[in-house]
Amino acid sequence: MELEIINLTKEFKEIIAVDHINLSMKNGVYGLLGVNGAGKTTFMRMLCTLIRPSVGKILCEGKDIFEMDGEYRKILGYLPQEFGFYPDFTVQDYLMYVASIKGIRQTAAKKRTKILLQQVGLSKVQNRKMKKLSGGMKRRVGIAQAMLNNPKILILDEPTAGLDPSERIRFRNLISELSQDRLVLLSTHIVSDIEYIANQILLMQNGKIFHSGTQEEILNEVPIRVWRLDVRKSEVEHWQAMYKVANLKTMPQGAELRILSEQCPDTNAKEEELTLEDVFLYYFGEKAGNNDDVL
Amino acid sequence: MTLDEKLKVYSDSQTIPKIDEECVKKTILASKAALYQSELESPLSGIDFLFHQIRYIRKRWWIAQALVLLALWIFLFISGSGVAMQRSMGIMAPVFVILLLPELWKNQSNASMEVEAASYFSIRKIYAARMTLFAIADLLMLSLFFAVSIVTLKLTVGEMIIQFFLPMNVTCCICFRNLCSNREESGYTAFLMSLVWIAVWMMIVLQERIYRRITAPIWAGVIILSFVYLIYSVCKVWKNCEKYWEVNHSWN
Repeated sequence: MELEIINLTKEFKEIIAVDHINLSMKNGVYGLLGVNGAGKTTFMRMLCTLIRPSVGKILCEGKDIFEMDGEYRKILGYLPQEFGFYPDFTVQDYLMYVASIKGIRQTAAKKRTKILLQQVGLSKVQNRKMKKLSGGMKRRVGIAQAMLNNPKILILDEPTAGLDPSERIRFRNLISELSQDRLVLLSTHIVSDIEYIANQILLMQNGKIFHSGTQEEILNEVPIRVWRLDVRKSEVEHWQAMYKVANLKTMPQGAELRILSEQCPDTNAKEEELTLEDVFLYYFGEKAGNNDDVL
Repeated sequence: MTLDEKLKVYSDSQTIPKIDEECVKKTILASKAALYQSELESPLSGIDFLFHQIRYIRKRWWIAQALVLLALWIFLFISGSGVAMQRSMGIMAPVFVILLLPELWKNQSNASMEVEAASYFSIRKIYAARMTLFAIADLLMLSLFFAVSIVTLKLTVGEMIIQFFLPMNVTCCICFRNLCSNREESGYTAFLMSLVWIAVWMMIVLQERIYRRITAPIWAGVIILSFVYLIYSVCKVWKNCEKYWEVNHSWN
């Protein structure tokens, strides 16, 4: 399965939400990393035909997805960031409803629902109403509905938003398991969501994908190194003003700083291994998660 | 040899094949898998999809609509007077339509439109299916109500059209026009505007000097206009429902 994105742009009045993206994606897991307001959701909505681009095209096996219409959505699975559902439906009923709008016949839908409920660990609550489920369970229903039609393209928009760490790990493993033989695009601003499962990472900012590659390629191409430095508490502000500090750990005897810098900041600094989180901070800085980025 | 002897010789020469139970089971499983795969690959037809949606519409609103019509009939049967008839029909007709609001708005109010829009049957077809089912159900209920009312209550067709059908039609226009809107509070707006319309209608029918001045051609003109606007609103819903995310929702 191949998706080709050609000069994709979306403008809302004066705002350019997605700015001339060119990309080719094949089977595998793609992690789309960016802060709030980067344009990730708009990009994903266009991939799901919810929004038409202002400029550009999205081709699936050489055909425009908007011209393919239902035939494209037949092979698409989508879990939106704000996953809404009908609260009075039971889990089983909700999945059967989504199966009906996905055009799946009832016999196949029943079997597929059973398989997916087992896979996401919700067989025991299939007769429980959706409104009675925990946040993590709702998300798992979300991934189950996205998988009902056994899609060749799976788009997950911030699938772990609002989940606790154990649920996030569980979700990550589930996505990894489901990603066999399909194209999975997963957007997040939580680095650990994709660090272990993404084959390719796409970094997005201000509507553009400014960097892409495997995790190793991205780590190798970043012109910074990471240093651990122990300082006095009174010096913390000075170091924060001089360098990009990835982490500040307050200790009884002072503070431990994780500094991002090309050059060694101090003779006492010890070099550490660069991680994807450091790269995220390097590119997105302290604005990561700042609400001013969301309009 | 006789025929029986020939048959016996023939049957003795035949060997019963040994049936491998494992192979039979594998064949059954493979057949089931093939059927399942073919069911998965061939989508529901439009008619099947339409009738599947009946299951997912909450019947309580249809029951409530039927109860509104029943209550109206009972009131008309008991009261019998012209003014009471006008008031009750003018109020109940919009109420009949307002009871559709929860089902029409449910995918907006529950934020499920994204999942629906990314499905094989687009949001446009989902809306079309729901509106078709509501139209069929309401047409059946109203036909029965009108037929029974004309026979038992001696109401004329003209009275039914002016006192019930017209206010109902205008309420439908209000609801569908608001359904086109991308604003999140459009359901509440439709409800409030419907209440305002009930108040306006009551003012018209209860003011004798205004009511008497409205002649049959004026009523006919208003009814035709409301019909035309209703068709326009339904078409606008049909056209706009896929542009829900174009304007004022999070573009992050």
